[in-house]
Amino acid sequence: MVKGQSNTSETRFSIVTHCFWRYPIVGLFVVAVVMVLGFAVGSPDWPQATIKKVSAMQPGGAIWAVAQELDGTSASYTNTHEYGMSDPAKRLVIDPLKSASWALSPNEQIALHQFLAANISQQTKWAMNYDKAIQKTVGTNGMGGGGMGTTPVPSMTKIESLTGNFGPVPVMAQSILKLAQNGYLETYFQGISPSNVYQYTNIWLYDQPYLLNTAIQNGLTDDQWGMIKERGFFVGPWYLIVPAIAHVELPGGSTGLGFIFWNGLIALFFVVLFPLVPGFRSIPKYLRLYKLVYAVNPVEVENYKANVPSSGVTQDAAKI
Amino acid sequence: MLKEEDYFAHHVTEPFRFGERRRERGFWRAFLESFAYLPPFNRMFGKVSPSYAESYWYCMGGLTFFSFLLLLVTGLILTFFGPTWWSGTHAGIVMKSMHYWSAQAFFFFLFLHIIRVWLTGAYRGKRWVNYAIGFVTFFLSLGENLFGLLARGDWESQFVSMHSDDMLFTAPFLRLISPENFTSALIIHVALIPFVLVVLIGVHVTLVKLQGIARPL
Repeated sequence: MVKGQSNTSETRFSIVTHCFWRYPIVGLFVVAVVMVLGFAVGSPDWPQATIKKVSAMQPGGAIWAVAQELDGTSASYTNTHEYGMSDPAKRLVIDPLKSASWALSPNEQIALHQFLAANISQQTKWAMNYDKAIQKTVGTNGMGGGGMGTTPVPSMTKIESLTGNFGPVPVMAQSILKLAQNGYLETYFQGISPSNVYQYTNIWLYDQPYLLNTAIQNGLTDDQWGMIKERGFFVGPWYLIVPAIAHVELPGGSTGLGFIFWNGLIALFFVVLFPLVPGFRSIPKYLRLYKLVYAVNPVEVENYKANVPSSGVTQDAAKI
Repeated sequence: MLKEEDYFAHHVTEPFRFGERRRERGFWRAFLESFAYLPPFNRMFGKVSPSYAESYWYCMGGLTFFSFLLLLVTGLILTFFGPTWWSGTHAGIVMKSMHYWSAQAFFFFLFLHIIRVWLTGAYRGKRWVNYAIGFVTFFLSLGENLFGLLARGDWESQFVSMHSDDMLFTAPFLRLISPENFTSALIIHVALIPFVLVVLIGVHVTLVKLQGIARPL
């Protein structure tokens, strides 16, 4: 059905009945593909890490994390602005120990009281000494996230043989390890939160070398293009490729502000510069790739070549 | 000669008579086309269009919208049944997987849609406003994707929540958000961003309908 047709170069097209009949077929096809993939292929689902499992697997990591939480160098100090966090030493070590005083041995209770009775600089000094002693056993200054190399996990035998001016910190660290391994710590963090808030659990886990090490070994950190990958699954968020390039390749892109800056600049280019600035906006016109996009109507091509007035030619878009 | 009025005449709704259409194109095409003339779709689709736009490239925006509808339907089912269902039962895992693949389809068609818009220069003139709305929708859907990942409740959720909290969510304003807080991530994913997305996509589709298909390059 032809409503009008032109043979001039600007408007060499006709108005045709839209091929709507294809839509329900294409729609059903998409639904079928999504359903088949949902049934047959599934989706990424790697079991969660738990405090109990992680502390049983890497007890040395848990001990080291306590030292770092008490001397203020743990990864969780990046999260002090989180609601309810404020001080990781209090939230992740002191408060759990106080809450579980009924489960602590007299020796452990004395250690906790000794630590609480000391002033802050003394507390930090003990923890710092212990942290540094543990660092010596593995030859690195530890966690903090972001680096490409994995963090070695200190062995318990080496930790237990350490001596120095640690005050009550080693005993407190052993208490936390015990509470973590018997599942108390997990329940405690859930108990002090409203339902389904895994905030403290996740922050505690990220202080252990385990989570980041596992990510690095699986190539999942941002520096390893982890933004577009999923653990144990072959298709990830590939559509994050542009932010991932900004993060990995562009200078400063691995910091929060740098990441936002580069992505903002890229967005500015595509939203404002490319479509509006003369020169840029004409790129598609000169590339002429629109030829790959437009439907070619053979009748119109013939008419155009022959420059024959096309009135009276009937056509149906559905046949194109 | 085709005049401008004729060009824009394709926004006018065409009458549909089943018998007539069946004689013209056969039963099945007439049947499939009849859906476009049902009341909810009647004002949504142009029943005639310029011939150059009759390629599958011009269906990509529509398919992105269709994938969004699939995301809404599967997402609503997941919302009603909850995390224990979607991560612990066979039916739940399948539904979660369909939601995942609908998101893959959404971005797949969205990329093709953006490529089509670029190659045909469909952002020219007054259409730039809708182009910008489309891009804002795209950026927001990437955020929606991130919070969906955080609200899944698996290993990746744990790791990405902490990894992103120490990188992206330390920036001013963004630091107000706690990505490692499952409940917060879930509310942002199922209520806050979808609400804005529905509004933006509604405006985008309405403007496409009002402005019609862009002139050829």
